[in-house]
Amino acid sequence: MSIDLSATGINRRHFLGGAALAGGFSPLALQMAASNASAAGNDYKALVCLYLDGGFDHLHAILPSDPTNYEALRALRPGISLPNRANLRSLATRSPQGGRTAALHPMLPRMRQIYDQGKMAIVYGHGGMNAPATKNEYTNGSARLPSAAGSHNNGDAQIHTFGDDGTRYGWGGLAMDVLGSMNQDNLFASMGVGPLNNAFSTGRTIDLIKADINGQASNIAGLGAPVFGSTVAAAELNALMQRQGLSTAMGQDYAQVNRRIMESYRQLNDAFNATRNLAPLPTNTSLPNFRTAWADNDIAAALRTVARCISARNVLRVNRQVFFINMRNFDTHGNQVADLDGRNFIRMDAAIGYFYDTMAAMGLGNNVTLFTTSEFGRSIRSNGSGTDHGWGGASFVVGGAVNGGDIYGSLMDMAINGNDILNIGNSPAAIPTVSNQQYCATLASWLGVPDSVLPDIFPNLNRFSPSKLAFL
Amino acid sequence: MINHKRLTLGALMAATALTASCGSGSVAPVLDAGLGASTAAQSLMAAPSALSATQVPVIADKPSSRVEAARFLNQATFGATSAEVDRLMSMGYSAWIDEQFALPRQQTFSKWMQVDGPRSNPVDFGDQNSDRESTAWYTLAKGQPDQLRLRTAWAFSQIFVVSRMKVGSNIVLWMDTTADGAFGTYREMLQRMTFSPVMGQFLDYLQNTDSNGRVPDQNYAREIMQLFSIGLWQLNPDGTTKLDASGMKIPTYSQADVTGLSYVFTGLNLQSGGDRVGTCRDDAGRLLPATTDTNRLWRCELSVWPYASARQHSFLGVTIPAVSTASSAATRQANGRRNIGIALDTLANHQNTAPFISKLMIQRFTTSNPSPAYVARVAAAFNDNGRGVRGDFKAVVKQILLDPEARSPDVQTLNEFGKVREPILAIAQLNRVLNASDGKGNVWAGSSGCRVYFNVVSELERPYNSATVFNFYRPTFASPSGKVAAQNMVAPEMQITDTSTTLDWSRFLQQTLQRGGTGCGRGAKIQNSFAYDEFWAESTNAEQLADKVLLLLAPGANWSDLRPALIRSINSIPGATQANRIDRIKIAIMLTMLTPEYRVQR
Repeated sequence: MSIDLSATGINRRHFLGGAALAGGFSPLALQMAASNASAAGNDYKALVCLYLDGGFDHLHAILPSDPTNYEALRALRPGISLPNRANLRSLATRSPQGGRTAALHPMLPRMRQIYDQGKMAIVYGHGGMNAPATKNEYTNGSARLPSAAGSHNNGDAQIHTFGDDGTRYGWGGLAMDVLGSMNQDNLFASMGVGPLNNAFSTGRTIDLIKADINGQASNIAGLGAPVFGSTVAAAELNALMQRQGLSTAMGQDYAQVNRRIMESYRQLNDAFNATRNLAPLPTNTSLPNFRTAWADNDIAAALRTVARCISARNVLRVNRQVFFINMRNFDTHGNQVADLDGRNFIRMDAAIGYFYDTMAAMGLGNNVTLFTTSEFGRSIRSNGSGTDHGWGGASFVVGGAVNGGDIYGSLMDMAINGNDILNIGNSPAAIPTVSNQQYCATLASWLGVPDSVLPDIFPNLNRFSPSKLAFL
Repeated sequence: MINHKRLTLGALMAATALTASCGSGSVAPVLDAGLGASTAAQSLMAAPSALSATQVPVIADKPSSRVEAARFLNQATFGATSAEVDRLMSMGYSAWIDEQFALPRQQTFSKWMQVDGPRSNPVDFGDQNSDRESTAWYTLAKGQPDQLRLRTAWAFSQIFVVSRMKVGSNIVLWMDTTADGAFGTYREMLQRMTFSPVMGQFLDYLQNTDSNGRVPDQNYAREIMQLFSIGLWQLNPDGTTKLDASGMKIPTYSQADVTGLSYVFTGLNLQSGGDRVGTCRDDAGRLLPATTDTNRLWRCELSVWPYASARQHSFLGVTIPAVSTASSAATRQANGRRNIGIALDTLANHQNTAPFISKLMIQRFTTSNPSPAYVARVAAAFNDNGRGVRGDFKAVVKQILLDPEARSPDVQTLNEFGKVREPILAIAQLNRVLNASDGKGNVWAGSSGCRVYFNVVSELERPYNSATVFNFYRPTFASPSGKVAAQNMVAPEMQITDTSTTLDWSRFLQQTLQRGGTGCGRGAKIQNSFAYDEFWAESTNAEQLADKVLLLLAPGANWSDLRPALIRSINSIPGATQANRIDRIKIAIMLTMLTPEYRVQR
């Protein structure tokens, strides 16, 4: 197709400009070598946000393993079967946890290994908060709960935009607004893979480019080849799609998305062509849970696409990037054990393990950090087969740069009337002890956002001390 | 949302009023059948809008042009056709709408799924790759005469969301529930929804209970308030957000209200027991025995079982009375049903409900950024249909479609007016104008065997298949770096209009036109074929073909760039042979459907 030929020409131009290699098509090995050589000099860094959409039940993933708290959780959650405590291996921690211990759910074995290797940290007990406060202050009314706490869209906003639902800029995009000068251009500064976009990805100047999960890129159909036999029609279509300054705002926004395809597809196509064979997902059907873990795991597939984009960073002309992937189905009101143990944990564990290994094999382990987010933790009590919306939750941070093998934040006391649980409108929830702002500011800081700018992105950050945590 | 441009809009609409006649040939839509003048005037006066009652423009009941007729039909149906344009030109808007209201339900989605689909085309129905549930929807959307009902059901499906991702093939029952409720009242829809086994499955309240130390599941209690009735924030009657003395938005409910309401939605389960046991009927109207298999019970409304909560609770300041635990099963069932009724009445009568639901409905039919005055007029119709009935969707839909803001050609060209056309409506329209069919009465949807189609439709916006209860997109969305956001407006459909999905739309369009049909089963099979009758007579004349395509697909858009481009493109193919004429039609459709002139519906 003529589209591919013209793409190759552009590819060569970008490629030669970046890596001073001669020749026609760029063989994978050369491309990879060029990328790696360049990486050493240019200090590439990327954050990969894996959003656990729906409200991640951290209490079921990071289980209390000391007898008191394990039994307390079990008693609070009839109908949600927990792994036998004898099968839990408590996580070693460097920070004292007052005699409390926790273990990863046995369906998260790869994440457990990475934790033990010191390359995965757990940030425990974080949530949306206006300011630090104790249970007593919430109870006596001297501290306010965040607005519309408990709704999915505000929980989403409170970790991705730090505003109410409808806030348009997210901290990933805003961080790239700050760091954009480190990129040759910023077309690919913020990328997403898979359905469900998020405000996380967009800043004031930075906009999202969506990469096809299967690694395909082409121009808008009808451009670059005759339209039903007519080259005139193709040219007319091109002229129509290239128009700027349409008279209405909606028309302009729609046209802008089309123009971004036209501007980006050649590079993206080159990037995908150059990485066709990069780190394929396992195809060995005898692997445990093969279908759930690999064959049907769109999160692993999306992370492979992220890895391909990172590998081809010279083609995309970036040194700093943020990625966003939405992992659905964490809103476990019902059927929680089947949905988490039997499905989401298997998918997440395989995908995170795959991505960690791939980055390490590419020599980029220290350059790329994957982290999870969610709207909130879930209610302390079972509703029979699931849990409802809660407040404080926990997240994972994975990568070579992570000060892992530790839990940041205090494991909670599961006593229903204790200091760590607040009864919000007759629904008990974990009180966060770490703010989402501290958690996310630490990540943005690692990416390179200067301390002086952090409060512009995380508006209440200065109310919390320290403003950054030590996991990176 | 604040929009300072409303003044302009109001002024223009006032100008329209001055030029319109009040003679016998025209009628102000707000005065139409059942909608009293006082209702409209009150709503206008109640709304802090740029319009006053004396400025209400009057729109003639007969379309002023075929373009105006087609523009209306693209809002009210799944796509204008020449025949329908002709009918509307002669009968006028009100009569057309009333005719639609009077049509009884036609073929149902479940009947297609159970009988018509497998009987008429067993091969494609049996193909593992066929997307049967979506095919039920595309088939009815393309061919059924009760277009306004199905279009209203489609709007409902994006407000009262149930996703096939969770409920599987039961989704066809929800398609029917939305169609059944389309011309009823809001309170009736709340009843259908709450007692729907499919909603019970989707939002987890089947077998919900507070017995044995359990707390009830809160999913439905939360979402029925946040998404299906009153929303998160207190609203004025015109849909604008109320602010407190310190300028903060005011929540409509607290977590305590969610918890309180969650106790009401207990005791609901299938009809194998409870207060409706033995009342379930099959398709032929025969009673099913009480103990029949549960698969068939899914079609019938839920029963209230004696494990409905006995405790006293409250929500939104309303007390839900206690029931003595010593009372009989029958009493507890009856009280459980009564308590659900109290809760649904409370939501239906809440002052937020009319503006909240009205604005969402307007966004689904006509424009993403209705003026507060438009919302107020529709909310007034919601509050009272002119005969004292609250929540009459016939009055709501009629006001939405006949409101001067929807109909005025002066408003239509404004920057604020219109909406981005969603992929499903574009595909449904393509099926209609090209009469897609398998020759056996069906319009097959894409399938996993056809990647582009799969991406466009199933990943994004397969009918009744949104990823979450929050629909495919949120009503407040605007592309962050775009012009819409910069002007404080919204364009919800842009949330699924990104570089990946927009590319997929272009590939879908090219491939289906290339292949001469949509749908694909195993391999690259075409399941439907297109027919080109709608454009055949015009296909030998470039100007006429361009005008016909623009009339049906992009009425109301500014054609000044697109029309000459279409004419030049059409003229590049000699018009002699049948194949040439088909190519000309395809070129005109493809170019139009890719441009902002089409994707922004006005």
